Amino acid sequence: MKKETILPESRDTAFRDLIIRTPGGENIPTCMQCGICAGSCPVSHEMDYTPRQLVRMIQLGLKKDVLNSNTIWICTTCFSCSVRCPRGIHPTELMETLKPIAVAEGIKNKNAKFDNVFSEVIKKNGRASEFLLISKYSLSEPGMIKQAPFGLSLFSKGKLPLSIDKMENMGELDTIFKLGEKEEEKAETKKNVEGKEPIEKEKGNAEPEAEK
Amino acid sequence: MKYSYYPGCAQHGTAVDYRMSVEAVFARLGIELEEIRNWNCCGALHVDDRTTRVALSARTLASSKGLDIATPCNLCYSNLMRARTALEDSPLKSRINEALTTKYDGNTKPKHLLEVIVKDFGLAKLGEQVKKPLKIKAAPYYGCLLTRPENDFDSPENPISLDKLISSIGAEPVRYYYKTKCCGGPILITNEELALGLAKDLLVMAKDSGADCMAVTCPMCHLQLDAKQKAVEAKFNIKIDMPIIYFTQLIGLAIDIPPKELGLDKHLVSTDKLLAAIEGGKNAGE
Amino acid sequence: MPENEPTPKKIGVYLCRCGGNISDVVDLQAVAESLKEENVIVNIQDYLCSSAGQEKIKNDIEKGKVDRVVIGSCSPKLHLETFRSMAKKAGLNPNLLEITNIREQASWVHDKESKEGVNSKARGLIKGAVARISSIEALVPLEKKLVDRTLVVGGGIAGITTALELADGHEVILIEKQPYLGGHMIGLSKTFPTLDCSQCILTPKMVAVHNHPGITMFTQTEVAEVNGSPGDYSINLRHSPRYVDIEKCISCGACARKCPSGAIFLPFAQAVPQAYMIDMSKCKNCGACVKVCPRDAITLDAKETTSSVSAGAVTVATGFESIDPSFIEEYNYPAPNLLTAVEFEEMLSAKSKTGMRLQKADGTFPNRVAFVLCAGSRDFTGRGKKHCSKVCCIYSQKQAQLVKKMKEDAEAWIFYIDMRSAGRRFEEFYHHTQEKGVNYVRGKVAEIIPQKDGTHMVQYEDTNLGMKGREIFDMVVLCPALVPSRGTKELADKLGVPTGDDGFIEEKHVKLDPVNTLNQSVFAAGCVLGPKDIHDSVTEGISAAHKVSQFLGKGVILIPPEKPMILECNGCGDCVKACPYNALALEGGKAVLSPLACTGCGICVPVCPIKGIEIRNFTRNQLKAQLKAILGEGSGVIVFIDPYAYAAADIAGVNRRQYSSLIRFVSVPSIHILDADVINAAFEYGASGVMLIEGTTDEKLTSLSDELYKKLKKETRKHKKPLRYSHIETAQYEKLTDLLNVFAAQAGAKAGKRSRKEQANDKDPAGEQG
Repeated sequence: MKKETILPESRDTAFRDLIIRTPGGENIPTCMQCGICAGSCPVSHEMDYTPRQLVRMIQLGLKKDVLNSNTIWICTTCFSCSVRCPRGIHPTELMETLKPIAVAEGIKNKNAKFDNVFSEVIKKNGRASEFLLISKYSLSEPGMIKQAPFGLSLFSKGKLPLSIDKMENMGELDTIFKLGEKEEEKAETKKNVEGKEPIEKEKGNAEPEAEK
Repeated sequence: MKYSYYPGCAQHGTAVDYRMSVEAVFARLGIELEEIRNWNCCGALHVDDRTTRVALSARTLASSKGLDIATPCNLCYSNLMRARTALEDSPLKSRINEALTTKYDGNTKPKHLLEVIVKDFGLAKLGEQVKKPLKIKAAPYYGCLLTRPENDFDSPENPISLDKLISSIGAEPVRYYYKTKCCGGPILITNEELALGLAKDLLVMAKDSGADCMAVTCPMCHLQLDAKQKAVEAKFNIKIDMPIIYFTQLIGLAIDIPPKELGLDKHLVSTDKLLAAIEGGKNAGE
Repeated sequence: MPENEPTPKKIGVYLCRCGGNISDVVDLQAVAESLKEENVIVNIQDYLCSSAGQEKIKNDIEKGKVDRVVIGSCSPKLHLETFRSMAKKAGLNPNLLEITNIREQASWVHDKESKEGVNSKARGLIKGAVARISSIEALVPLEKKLVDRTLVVGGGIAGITTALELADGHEVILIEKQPYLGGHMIGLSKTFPTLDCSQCILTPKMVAVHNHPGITMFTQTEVAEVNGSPGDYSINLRHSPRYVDIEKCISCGACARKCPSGAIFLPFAQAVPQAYMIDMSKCKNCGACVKVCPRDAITLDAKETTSSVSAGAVTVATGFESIDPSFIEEYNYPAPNLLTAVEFEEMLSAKSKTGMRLQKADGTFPNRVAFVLCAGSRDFTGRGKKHCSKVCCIYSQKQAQLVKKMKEDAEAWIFYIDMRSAGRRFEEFYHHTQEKGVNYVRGKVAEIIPQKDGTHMVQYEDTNLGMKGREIFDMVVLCPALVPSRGTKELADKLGVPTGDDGFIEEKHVKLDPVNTLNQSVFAAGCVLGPKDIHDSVTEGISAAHKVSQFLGKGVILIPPEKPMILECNGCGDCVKACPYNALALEGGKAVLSPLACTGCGICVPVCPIKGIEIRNFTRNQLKAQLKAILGEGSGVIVFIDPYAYAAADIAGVNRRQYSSLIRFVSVPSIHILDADVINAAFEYGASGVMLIEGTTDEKLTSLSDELYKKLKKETRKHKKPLRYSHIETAQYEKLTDLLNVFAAQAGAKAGKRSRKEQANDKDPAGEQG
């Protein structure tokens, strides 16, 4: 990726403030760039920016670069960085925070697609059937054909049942998913109303100083 | 001893062997697991919206009927633990409770089955039940999400409860520095290349440490290390042949439950050699 | 009684803007306005501590405009002495000048609160101070003769320097926990930045200590108990047995040659004192050494002994230790060839067990050595230590240089976060180390995985490149956080000096009084005040010696005059029994005070059944008048606070820890002077709650606090308002502000409920009337 000059116009302080306000983001300003996160990360060598660099970019508010980086999708969510960070920053949670924002900004990614398939499956059935997941994901991801022998080997051991495991009653789960969607809509309308500055204090967490 | 039981989705699919061993072993040990009725998926690592993610686990926590919730899966455990912490934020809790029929009161304690055995049941008591001490070496592999980001019973970097469990059933836990490293499971579907590389490191290190098998606590780790082991061997052109055994299967073998009842024939990496070694060990021991 | 004095006092109130530090938050003009009816002179200045500010007050005193002074400014811990010496010069009794703290206790901690909240607090505090100053007596401090002897605790370079610098003018007792002098420094190899050998520069000093007629030295000795009072301590020392008489032993080594188990040994060749010692865990008690010793120096059944010394001053130089890095689990310490920097140094020092050779566990030279900085430092998660250990950046470079010096083609890598080489000749040292070919990696090591062959895999991110890396090393040296040596807190408690939240001893003033402590007869030097190098430890040793000498040179110590006065006595003896310091006695059927033994704790006040005892200038009536004035400016929470906890509130202020502006501190010498009379008065004047916060670590007092609290709670119950007791040491300023906030919220909520109830009650009679 071509690197650009950091200019005042590339810095989005509203984005920075939004991330810092999300649970787990409050310590981001205290990052000393020690790199223990990236050193601990099993997959940081595959990232275009290491977790440390991502935190730095958030400090500066480089929204575009942050949301376009593959870092947030490469993360395997192993939390090695989070338990080691000497400043109490939680890079793993940061990735979780950034994922929906990136999706909302229209960023496309394989993992986002899989997450979407996963959400759809449990929205519909309440449980995640591996067979359904793999087959649905394969529809949109032609490369998945390579996985066919793997699926077959599982099937042969009775580990990939074709019967789909479902909840008996889905009513409550619908409400739960609506809960999230409602908030998304709320954020969306707010964004429309306020134009450039999206999602203000949407989570409403009043106490930033809560310590564990 | 009685727990509300949250099996998680894998128990009905890829982890059928895990389920068999859990059912057989817990029945034998007299630990009652009452499956939560109409339970839902925890969302694993694939529900991006935080409120929805927390709410999915909040519903599970709310359905515990005053008991501790036991779960066999690292992902489920991690999601329940994290949700419990997130729900200490009372505005979030009340917003989520609005969507729930049974409200969450903030008091449910989630426990992984490993914690149930090691802490609640007790390893001394388990040791008494052992009929066939397993004279084998096992690499204790905890995975990432059992101890991170939070857990109530062991260290996030160098946990020892599974090591102790392995000792208590007569086997030897090898010194395994990769015990909490990531197996690549979460990116197994979307980034296979990378995922296989991570699995390779774990398998090679286990083999180097002289282990006869790896003991695991999570269906995702098992899928990645067992079902994908062939793919690892092919990609890196190496021979590993490392049986990946659920800790409940190891217990089952030690308390003399037939391997078939523990689903040991359902593994993709053959367990025959290991089982033979265990039989041999038994004879040697007697 | 002073309260009945007929002549009206001329009170001057001087308020300090502190260049905006105060006036940006507190409306000083409004405070001045509110004093209009009080018949006082009010003056506001930019900086009262400046010479112009002081001159103004001095002029007013000299011209007779004022004869009592209230200053509203920063904490009295900073400038009370400044202002009082000015008052003295102007001819005013210094005790008639007091400071009200409206910076650390108001403007710095309430700048996010409503303006009216802060202003009503400031008005209340100043009015309380005016009420107080008009009622106090012009007391003169008492004088006590000093013992001209210093106890120096710790025989490292700081303690040695202090002892030597003092010993020509004053008697010194130097005690050391280890069997030899030299502290950590004797375990160092070469010293940065000049690379001169540690033992070469230290040994002459240790010998000088040993030979100096003015210094009495005890090794294997610790402080067991401290009695007496500042300027006149009686200190019990505990001596562990060495089993060899230092005076008799001539280090001939006959004993060691005979010993079958290697239990008797000379710690190391240059050790001072030069004498053998026995490791009893190895001794078989065969007595061979006893028989062979030509000087009869060995006693195998020697026991721990104690002795008592008197001293007028104490210098604490107990140094540091390196934190055990095994809690950093991802580093997998301990393991062969994975050492701490202290272990690395010792291998190359006088204390070496390898003949000063750098070697791996298998005896071979390590060709690739990694130095891992900040192991357990700069950590704000509670897992490690917050502070930077200051010396690691430089000593690790020195160690890397030594590796290169011993073997030119050996590799030395330094993993650092920030290379901190501030200080004379240190940047040059950094540059020189680079020239030697040492490899610097900017990145905190993520994990160290021991390999089967005894090497270690180090994983890290090179943050300058944004690339992850893995390297195999023959030896890895951790540079762990440096913390105060074990027992520092216990010793500090015995001496009544506070430690910070990092465990190091608090200086009297972090910049201006760096070797004094909050106890005027206790001084400190070296790493017990924070990690530092030899140069700075020596500087502090010299400073402490100077300060001790200055203190002892006065010959007398001034004691605060706020002591109990016995106004009425029925001879019951309750106060005599209660006094923990034996300062009261019955003479001719009446209680009599020995003021020099009295600490002014006030325990005798509430125990007197006929309320016949009052503390001078903290009488019940004086406190009540102050409370009434404070609460006249709006309700709040009254917090009685002792000087130790007051220091915690000051630290909270300096760190801008916000808390409710409902909190109003009232300084008392000790919370034990309080009885239900005073607390009830606070409630009657409108306090929504009362807290007692005690910071002293004197167990003679704290062991009685619970009982006092229970009693007060019972006797003030009728007001149905919250009363709380809490023990907060100086270091616990975070806990303090959390507590204040919780309590203020509780008291506020309760007050809200009450007022609604009262309103309802008010309505009822009206209803009846209608």
